[in-house]
Amino acid sequence: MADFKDERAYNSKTLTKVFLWSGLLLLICVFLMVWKDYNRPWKAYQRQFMQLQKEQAIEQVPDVVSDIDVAKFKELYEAKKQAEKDLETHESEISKLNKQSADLDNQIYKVKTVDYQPLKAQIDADKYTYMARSEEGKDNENLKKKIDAETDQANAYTQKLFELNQQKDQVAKDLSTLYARRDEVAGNLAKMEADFLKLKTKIDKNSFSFLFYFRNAMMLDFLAPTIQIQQVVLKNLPEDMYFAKTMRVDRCMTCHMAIDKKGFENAPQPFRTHPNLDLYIGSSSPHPLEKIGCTICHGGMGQATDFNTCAHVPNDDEQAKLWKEKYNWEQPEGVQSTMLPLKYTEGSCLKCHGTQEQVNFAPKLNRGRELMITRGCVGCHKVKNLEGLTKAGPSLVRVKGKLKEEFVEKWVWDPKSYNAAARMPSFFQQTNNSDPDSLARNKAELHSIVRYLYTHSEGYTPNEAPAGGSVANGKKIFKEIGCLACHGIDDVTSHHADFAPDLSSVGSKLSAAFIYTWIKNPRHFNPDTRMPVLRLTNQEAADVTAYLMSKRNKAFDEASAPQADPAVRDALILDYLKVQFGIDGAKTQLAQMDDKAKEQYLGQKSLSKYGCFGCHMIQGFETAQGIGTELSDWGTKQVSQLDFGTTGLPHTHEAFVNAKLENPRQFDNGKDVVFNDKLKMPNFHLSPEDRESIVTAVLGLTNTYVPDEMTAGIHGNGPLLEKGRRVIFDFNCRGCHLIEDQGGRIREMYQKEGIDLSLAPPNLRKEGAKVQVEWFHDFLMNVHPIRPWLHIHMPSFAWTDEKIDAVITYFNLKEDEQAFPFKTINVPKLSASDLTQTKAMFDKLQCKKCHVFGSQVPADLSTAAPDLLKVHERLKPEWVLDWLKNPDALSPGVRMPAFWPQPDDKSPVPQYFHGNSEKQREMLRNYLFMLSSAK
Amino acid sequence: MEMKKIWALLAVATLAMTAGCGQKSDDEMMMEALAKSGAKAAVPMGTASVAGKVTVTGKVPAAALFSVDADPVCKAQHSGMVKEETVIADAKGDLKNVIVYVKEGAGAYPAPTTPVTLLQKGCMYQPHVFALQVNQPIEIVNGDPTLHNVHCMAQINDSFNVGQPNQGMITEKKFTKPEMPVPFKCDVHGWMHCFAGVFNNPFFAVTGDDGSFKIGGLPAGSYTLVAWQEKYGESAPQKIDIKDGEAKAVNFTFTAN
Repeated sequence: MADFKDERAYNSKTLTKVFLWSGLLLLICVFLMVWKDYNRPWKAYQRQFMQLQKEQAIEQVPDVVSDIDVAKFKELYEAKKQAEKDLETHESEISKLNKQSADLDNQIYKVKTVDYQPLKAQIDADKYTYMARSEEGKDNENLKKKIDAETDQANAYTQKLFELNQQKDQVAKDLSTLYARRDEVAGNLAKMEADFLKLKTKIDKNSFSFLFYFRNAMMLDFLAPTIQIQQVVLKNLPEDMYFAKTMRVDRCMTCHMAIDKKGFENAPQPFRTHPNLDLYIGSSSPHPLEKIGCTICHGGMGQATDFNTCAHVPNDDEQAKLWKEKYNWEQPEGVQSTMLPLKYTEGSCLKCHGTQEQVNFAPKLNRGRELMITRGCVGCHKVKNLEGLTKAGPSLVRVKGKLKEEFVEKWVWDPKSYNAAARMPSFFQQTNNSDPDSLARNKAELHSIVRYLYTHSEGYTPNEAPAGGSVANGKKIFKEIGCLACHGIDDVTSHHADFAPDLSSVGSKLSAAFIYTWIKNPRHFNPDTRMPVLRLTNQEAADVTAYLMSKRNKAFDEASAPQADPAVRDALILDYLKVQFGIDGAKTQLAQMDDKAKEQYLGQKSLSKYGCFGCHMIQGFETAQGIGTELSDWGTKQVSQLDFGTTGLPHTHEAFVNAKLENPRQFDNGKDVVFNDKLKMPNFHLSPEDRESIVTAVLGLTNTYVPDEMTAGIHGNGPLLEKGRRVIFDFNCRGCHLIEDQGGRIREMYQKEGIDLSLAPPNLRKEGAKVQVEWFHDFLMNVHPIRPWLHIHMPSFAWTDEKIDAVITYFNLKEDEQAFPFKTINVPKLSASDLTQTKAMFDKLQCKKCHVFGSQVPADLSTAAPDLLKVHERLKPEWVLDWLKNPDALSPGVRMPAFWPQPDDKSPVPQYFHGNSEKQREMLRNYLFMLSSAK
Repeated sequence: MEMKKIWALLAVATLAMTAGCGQKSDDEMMMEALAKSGAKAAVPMGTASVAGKVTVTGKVPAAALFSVDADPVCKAQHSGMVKEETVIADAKGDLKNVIVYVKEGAGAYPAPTTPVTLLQKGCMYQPHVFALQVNQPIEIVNGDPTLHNVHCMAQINDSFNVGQPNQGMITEKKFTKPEMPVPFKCDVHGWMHCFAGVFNNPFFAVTGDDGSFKIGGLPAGSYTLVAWQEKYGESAPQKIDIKDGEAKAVNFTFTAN
């Protein structure tokens, strides 16, 4: 061997060594790989979860067992034993019967398969031959005889089979008689044990048995492991991998094993049950796990199975700290999708519900969207589905007749100095423009803006306000009639609405004549206003005017308006002109302008610069486009495209928007920016809660592809419903009413002040099923209160037919998809004898104790219930039956009691109509409809 | 594939083996579990007791008067105006209608089957404040020949609102969860309201005319007691340690505001 002459170009000894070592290395690598795979963190979680399930099941045993009647169980247990013992005494009989049964089975088999079936085949064959020969005209006599004989034999077999089966049935019957007692007892016992045995199975299933270790052993776990990756494949929600759409695969439940299992609501993560399984994840919920998955709402990398590669993002700093310690967590970067911090998850609803006016059960998102509209975000920033809405601020086309110039200058210079709750944001005196230079320039801009507005304003003269209004009475009216559904005021702390301006200092803003004319008829000043008419008498309007005029801000009244320096103004104009005409040309142009022209020029430029027309209607800017960045898919914009400047913020979307809302100008910090390029987004002074709501709504704006079939609100009646919802939002119906169980915001005041909620504006749950279409239309055209004795009352909106139709259609379609064409009302008349009985029942139930009955009113009118004589013109007959049966289900907390308490449905007046509750309600309903028609 | 089959066969064989050795029947396992569950039986009643008085300091304004004339049936049962029952205190400040109860420390006890009665008589609730146990029946009786509705505004339990048009009509209900307080009102007669306390143990009492209360049958242990009054709300808690057979005195004081 040693002398083996190697003629090859390489040394085989060295090579052997290389092979040996690399082979060993490879083996080690293989072992390391296997070891690493065996130790993947999710496997440990699944083992932990088994343990958790087992412990939970063991804990439940005493509960389940304690419900059991021990004595009864013992009795059954003994009875079962006894029955089994009894069976033993019949042993010989049973074995005889069993043997008989087996014998019969054999015989049946023989007759059926050995005798009958071949014979049947033979008959068929012979019949065929017979036919064939007949056609050829051959003699068939012998064959016919054979067939007849065979058929007789077959019939004999069938008869035999029948007899055998009968015998077998008898044997089975005999046997079951013997076993009857045992089976009965065992059945009852099994029923008592069912819950316990379920737990027992669960315990066994989650025990670490030999089989468990065997199936999940290293190197064997590729066969049929119980520990394995769990996933859902979502065909209808593809994932956008930059250039291609791939199926979305979510594996989150590999660790979050209890996500769809009830009973782990308080378990430690990752084993906690998803909140609200009826709404999410649950298989009968509208968002079942197998159809919606996880990442469409939560974001993150669905296919990953490791804490950090999943792109988990903590909810707050505290959680971040915890995760760093526990999981070595770091802010995910450069991944396709990071998880949304939990507090912003509602934003994701927009992916499928983006076209809807509001998303039920997503209050934070709804609030965010509402703020984006009412605070004017969408005036500057284009946002898909939030376009073409009413502008956030008042129209300025008649500003000359409404406000003093000095007021406007002081107001825009610092809106908060007028009213801390003002919604107008602050453009000036912010962190990037508070240097003397900027202040002087801003004052010049502001002065020119105001000059422009007043030059481009129509005149307006309000009616005279009568003198002598009562402040105290005005305050009472203001609080009680419903102004607070939209407006806030500092005299009332139990409720603060911000749908319309806060009126705490309105006396410093408007004249008495303007307020008086406005509250009598807002459309006198602005034909397009959304403010409704409250149908106040002249005296009431004068009282409210006196009250509102008493609401002044003294410090603001006494402050002087900012003074503009003409030289600074000219310098600003020169800057603009330079771009167009060069420095010398600009100077020539400027020299040709007089003061008025200069003001107009700079005013127009400044209005464009700050984008005032985004919120206000301004002459000359009717078609101008908002000046902000489009936000339609901002949530999916790459973080690297955002300019964090020197803010030192964490590089996340949420930190960016939040900072923009907290102080938009901080992004100019430490930068040297020329005056006109300074950031212009104003400061909205939002509360942290409101900021969080808006961040939620903005993060939800994505370009995630969702196919039409998964999009809500665009199928069937969806668009019609949305049309109605939009009107409902636009006119703040939810300021007073609960609609789809959302809103009813003024009820907060009733609750906090302990006023009976049934005296508040009604819950409009099932309104479409409740009121007749004709009545509804008439009511919205010409509002006439249903309970005129209440102070709060529905105001009159000057709605177009289109809006009224949209609202009526919405309410009706929501209750009944087949609402069109509207059904005719037909209630049968009572016979004379039924009428007598029903009248007596009506009196016995004492309905008039609470309800108005034409001219008859209850003793305390202030809390009376609606007029029963108007039932026929207002209510739908089917609804009246539902209402009588269970009022609380239709209007939770209502004062109307259940006379036939459910579910027993027992009548309190069994003497009428044989105590038949359903009949009684029907008769009452028919009576109400008849009675009012007969009036 | 073939390999997989072999493994599966092996697995089945192992399963059969493990299942075969010494398994108990379902019935036997159940019997064992039942025997073990004896430990979970209710804590027995004890022999200690707590008694005392609830008083109010400061000036209690005289009870307001209101009219019940709106309903002739109500009017007929009273001579003139009726006194508010929100705060009932005598000259010494002894406070009636206060619920004193063990807020922490007591376990759950089975409910008595004797019902508690809430009577509507003279368009007033009798009693105005009462307490009962979870699952103890409550009978609400209309003692007046007029319409009452019993509007229970429970938050944790199911609320209900039942019309009682007949005199002598009885509505029976049960509360399934502890809740404190549960307000009742009658919407027909705006002045009618009352309160109930629902507890999962029998250690509660409502003070009488002289403001006194007594809670008996307490097992030895440490408890947190509180008093609740409909206007003044919940008192500061008082912690007590009590031994078997001991009788402790505990007083509560509210301040009129």
